[in-house]
Amino acid sequence: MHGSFLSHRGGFWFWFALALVLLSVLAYVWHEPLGVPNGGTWLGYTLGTVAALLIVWLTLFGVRKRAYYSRLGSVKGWLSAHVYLGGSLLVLGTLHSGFQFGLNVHTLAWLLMVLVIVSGFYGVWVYWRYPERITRNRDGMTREIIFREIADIDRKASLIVEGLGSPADRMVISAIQLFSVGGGAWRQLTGRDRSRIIVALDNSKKKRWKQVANPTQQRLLDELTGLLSRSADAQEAALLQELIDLISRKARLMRQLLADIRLQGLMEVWLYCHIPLTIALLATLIAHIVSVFFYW
Amino acid sequence: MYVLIRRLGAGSGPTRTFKDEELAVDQLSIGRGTDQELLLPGDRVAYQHAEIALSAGQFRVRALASAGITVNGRSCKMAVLNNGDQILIGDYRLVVLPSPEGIDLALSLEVLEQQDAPSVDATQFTTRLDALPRWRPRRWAWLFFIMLLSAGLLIPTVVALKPDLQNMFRNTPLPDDSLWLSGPLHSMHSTIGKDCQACHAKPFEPVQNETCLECHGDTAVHLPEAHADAGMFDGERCASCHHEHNGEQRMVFDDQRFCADCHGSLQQRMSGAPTVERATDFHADHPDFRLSLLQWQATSNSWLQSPRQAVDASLQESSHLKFDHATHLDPQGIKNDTGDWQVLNCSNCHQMTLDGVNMAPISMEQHCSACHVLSFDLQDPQRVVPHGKPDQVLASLREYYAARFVQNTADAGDVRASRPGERNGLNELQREGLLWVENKSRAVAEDLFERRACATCHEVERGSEEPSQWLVKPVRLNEQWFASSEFPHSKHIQSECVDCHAAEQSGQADDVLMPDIAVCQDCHKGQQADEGLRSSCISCHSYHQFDLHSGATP
Repeated sequence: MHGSFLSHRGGFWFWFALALVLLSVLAYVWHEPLGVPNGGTWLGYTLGTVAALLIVWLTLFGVRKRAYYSRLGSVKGWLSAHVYLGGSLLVLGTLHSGFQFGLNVHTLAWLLMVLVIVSGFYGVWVYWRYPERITRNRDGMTREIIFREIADIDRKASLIVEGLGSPADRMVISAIQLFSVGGGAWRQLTGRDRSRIIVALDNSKKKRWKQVANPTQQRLLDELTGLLSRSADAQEAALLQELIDLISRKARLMRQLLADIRLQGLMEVWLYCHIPLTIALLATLIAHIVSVFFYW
Repeated sequence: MYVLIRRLGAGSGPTRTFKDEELAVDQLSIGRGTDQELLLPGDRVAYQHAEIALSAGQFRVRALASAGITVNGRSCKMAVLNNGDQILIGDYRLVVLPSPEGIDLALSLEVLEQQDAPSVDATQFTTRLDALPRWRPRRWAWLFFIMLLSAGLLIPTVVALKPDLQNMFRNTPLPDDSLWLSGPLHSMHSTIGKDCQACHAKPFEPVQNETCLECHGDTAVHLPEAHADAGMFDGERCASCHHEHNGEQRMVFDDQRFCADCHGSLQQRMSGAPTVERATDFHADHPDFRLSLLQWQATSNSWLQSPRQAVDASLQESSHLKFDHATHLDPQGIKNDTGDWQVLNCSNCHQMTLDGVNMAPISMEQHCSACHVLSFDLQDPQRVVPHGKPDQVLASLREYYAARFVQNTADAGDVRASRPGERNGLNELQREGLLWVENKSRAVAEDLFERRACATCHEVERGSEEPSQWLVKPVRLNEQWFASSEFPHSKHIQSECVDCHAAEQSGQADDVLMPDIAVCQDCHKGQQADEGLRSSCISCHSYHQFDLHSGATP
């Protein structure tokens, strides 16, 4: 039966991590070190060792995930433990520091650890909430189908404008040619439509053309509506109306497409921080441990 | 030139629909590009495919794209246009029509096929993050890993191990082993700067005591080396109690558990009977004060600080001074030299030393002589003997009375004083004078030493020999009551002296006026106390100064 990794085995790993956190907090409160609380007391060394081993184990999730033939627990169980034990690390690592922070490699390790955990929490949140949002937005389609639908509309519109001529043909065709979705990470994640269009400027006898923004085909719709309102020819008006209907549908598809790209990107982008930060944390952790004993 | 474009629609023959469009252009550019005057959006049309221009009264069509054009069924690069000529560009057919009035060139336009109508192409858009080559997580992971491992570990290690590289790295913004600094140095150590090796002499080895002792060499050890149990401290590190890299605070751990660890179980730990009692907390578990007193050693004519003694009613100080605190502190006042009543308070005599710890010594000249005038002759009350040794007092008296005798005989007109011819040897008058001066001086001295001035404050003994000698017992006030702790008076000035020292009830100089531990415990509570002044062992004691008088103890 399908179930969330968050409630895997009745939330076993949640309770395990909670117990670990409570145990650490109680020990920290009960422990009265000679001097100030820091990583060098027996509790500090204990928490540090546990936290470091946890970090190494949590990193190994990336290996287990790819080891498809491994029989070492299910990936779902691993993920459940990964999430909850990763969360407990926030408490363990911070208690290990004894709240002593500074501009040094030790605090950098702590900071990277926090960033990794926070990005992981974000990942849990998007994996929990976004699949449903993505499905709802796609409305039974896939990204490929949306593209094909748009292409179909484009072809129909191209045919219609043959009978309309300038400026409708130029605007419709340029809107197809200057259609744009996605691109770099920022464009994908913001979901802003950067499609453009070439429209006529009627401010002189000689016609001038200008490229302007056409977010979700709105400018094209405005222009076509303007043409429709000025059209005295019934046949032309009918073609324009047909065109407007098509472009309206295209605009709706584009909004779906942009939202799909954005939601998909947001659901994946945390991993692009989580992984490199984890490896950065490993390097800093090594530096932290070695340097502490180098200058004992 | 004015161009008419007739777009042919559905149908055929005379019923075919069309739409006319007029263009005013210099020359008619034709192509797929949206900047073209005649836009032919088919994929097989180039962006700038052809142009029609008027030259020498003729319209010429010229191919601009490599695909070329077809005029009247023949592929060509350029052609002169006449009525009825057909031009094929991609799937578009242009036919030159007879020009109506006001139009230079008329063209009909129809599309032959529609398969290549422009439409969106999904493959030309990047719509997934994992399609971005710069975003490969592995690439960034390796970059971060190498950068952080280099800056955080490899370079600092090299700097730590290679002294000749240290200046270069430590004096520039380049990463060095200061990145490993877990916290700021104590300000007294800040002169060490970035020279980690000043203390961390060997990698992976804790800081050694010898390193500390290079500067702090004269620090006293807790037990002298000769002590039977000095070996208990073998292997103890300075850094056990002194944790560096915690900034200004905490260089010295004031936690009483450091001390209570041993001082709670000295019986078990020490080879012999411990000289100090068990103590683990000032308020809850601390022995009563034991005092060290000054003792006069008649045999060696010297003062000796006694070992610590328990305080009870029988304990007496023996300073050889006669002094009555109660009388001097009488709130009604005490009669001074001129017979006036003067109210004294403690600070008239007791003033703190500059270091704020102890009280400065009392001196006769400074504190007593204003009232206790050492006059000896009622007729001449201004004359005083010096506050010195008995011989000096006697000499002073003799001088005074010799002068008095001479003056008296001269005043009486004694002729013997000027009888001539008797210069050799003592004459009768001189003998008489000497005898009188000696008797008078001794009588006055006896009065001074045994009944008046000296005896008021001092213990004076009269020798058995003749003529009599007096011995004033030396006076010294105890300043080191506590052998192994320090009481800074300056930190307690908000209290009255009599809050701790019961001087107002003391009638004897021998009274021990040191307070009981309970007096201190009124304010000073244990280190773990919930309220009151939390005091740990080193509030009063010092680890590196075990017993002020240990040298004097047998």
